[in-house]
Amino acid sequence: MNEDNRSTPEELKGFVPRPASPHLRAKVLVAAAATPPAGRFLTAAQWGMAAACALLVIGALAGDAVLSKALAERLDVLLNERSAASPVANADRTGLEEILGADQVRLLGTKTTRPRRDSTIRIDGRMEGRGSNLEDKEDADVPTKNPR
Amino acid sequence: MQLDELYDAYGDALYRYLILKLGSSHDAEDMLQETFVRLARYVGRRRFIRDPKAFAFRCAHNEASRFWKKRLRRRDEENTFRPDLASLIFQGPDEASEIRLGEALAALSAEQREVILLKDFEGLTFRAIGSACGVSTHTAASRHRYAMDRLRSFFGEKK
Repeated sequence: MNEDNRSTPEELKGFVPRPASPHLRAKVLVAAAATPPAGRFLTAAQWGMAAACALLVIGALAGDAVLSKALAERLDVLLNERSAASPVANADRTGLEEILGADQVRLLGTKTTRPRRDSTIRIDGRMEGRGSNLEDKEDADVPTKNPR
Repeated sequence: MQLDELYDAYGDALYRYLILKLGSSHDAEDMLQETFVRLARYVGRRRFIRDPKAFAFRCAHNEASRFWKKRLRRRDEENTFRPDLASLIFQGPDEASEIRLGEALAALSAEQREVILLKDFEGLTFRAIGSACGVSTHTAASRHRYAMDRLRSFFGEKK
């Protein structure tokens, strides 16, 4: 940006700014001196509110962490109780722990400890229930409803 | 910087600026007082102010805007400057030349008058003028260029 005054007309160069009257200075300064200066960056009340908000946030985060931990522990206890009640699931869990490690199994706890439907062996030696293919194949040939 | 130092540094310049903006020495005195009341509130925050001179002119500019808003005569702002006001703002070789300068300034728009005063008489840079008037540096420079063209043609015609 060109800041020079080479293009200023000659007619302007003979003028100087006129000073204001001295009594105006006293009048203005008296009025301005009665004004209390604004506080610093924030007033005391604003600082207090900011500190209270910060405490609330910190408290909420800490409370969330504590509650989450307590909830996780409670869930773990519940899962362990359920797995102990089911010998089959407990056996599965032990096997899985050998393969995946205890931590992974705990994460998958809900699947490994889900109560399974007991399988039964029929008189003819076939197995029915979960894992049997009787329902899928042979029972498909047997009509389930009486034909009219 | 304390209030009295602030006044000694910028008080007269702000007064001239407000006469130019408001077209009346009485209104300019009132608004100068308002400007310093406002500046007094910022004395404690001066470390946040990059250019105190531009800031002081910005405060005066805002006070003048509030003045016109209260008066609800914003359209009259263009026509407030009379040639005889030049003798309150400038000191020339004689009264006739002061009146002639006043006529020249009255032929300009309010924005152009403002830039001429701030640049050629108060010594603000275009950046500071832009900051004081709320326009970009380029706008301030362009207003100054157009004002100079009009003044040159005005004085050329008078010769």
